[in-house]
Amino acid sequence: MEYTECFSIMNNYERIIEANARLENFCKKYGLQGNLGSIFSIVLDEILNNIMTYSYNDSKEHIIDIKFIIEDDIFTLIFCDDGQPFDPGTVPVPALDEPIDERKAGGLGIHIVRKLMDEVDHRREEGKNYFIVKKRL
Amino acid sequence: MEIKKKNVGNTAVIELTGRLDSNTSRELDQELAELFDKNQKDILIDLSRLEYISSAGLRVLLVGLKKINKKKGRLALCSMNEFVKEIFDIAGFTPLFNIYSSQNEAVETISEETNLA
Repeated sequence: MEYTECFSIMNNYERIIEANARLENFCKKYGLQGNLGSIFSIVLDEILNNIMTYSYNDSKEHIIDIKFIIEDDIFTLIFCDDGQPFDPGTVPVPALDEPIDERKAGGLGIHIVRKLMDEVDHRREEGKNYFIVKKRL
Repeated sequence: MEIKKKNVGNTAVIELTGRLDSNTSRELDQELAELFDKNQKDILIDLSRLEYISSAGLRVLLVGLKKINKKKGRLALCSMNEFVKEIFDIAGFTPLFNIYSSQNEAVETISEETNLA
């Protein structure tokens, strides 16, 4: 069986709340609660923030398409934006053992996504970025 | 997220309930800024009712810790659940903070250290 949900939001940080509410409902409907639900909420927060912060070099409104899929015990989240090419694979792993004064929070979001999910992929197709993350349930 | 504040001795205690993410981390940032403005030296953040934390929340804690270190104060954490602890470990944040298992233990240790200083 495959369960999916697709929707779109504008590139406004406030809209992350709405996206997260839809994710929560989706997870609840299919019994993904507790830590799993929290993992997906964190991943959604990190990826949407990343897109909104780094993908656009203009101040225009943009649409981000989001898709949740549960198939064969794998949860997939797909984010599609029309911003500048951005490959999360190029984001370096932050230095995690630096002393406090040297520590920076930059790059932590993608690092957390990589650690929480089983697969993190990026595709650039027809002028759009597709950020695809998967986790076995 | 809900934020409750109280003072125990000289320690300002902030209790967080819910999620500390990109949306709610600004609220914590403001609370910390107010305490810094009041020159509060010892701050304890109780995470017992925190469901999860994202990098936006971690960033606020890191910035807060750096600021209070410069003022020779303390920003400690207590009562984090296993999942929040896992995020701290992933981010390499666990060694940066004084993390106590309970609010009582934290407050007692902080006040003992203050008395010794």
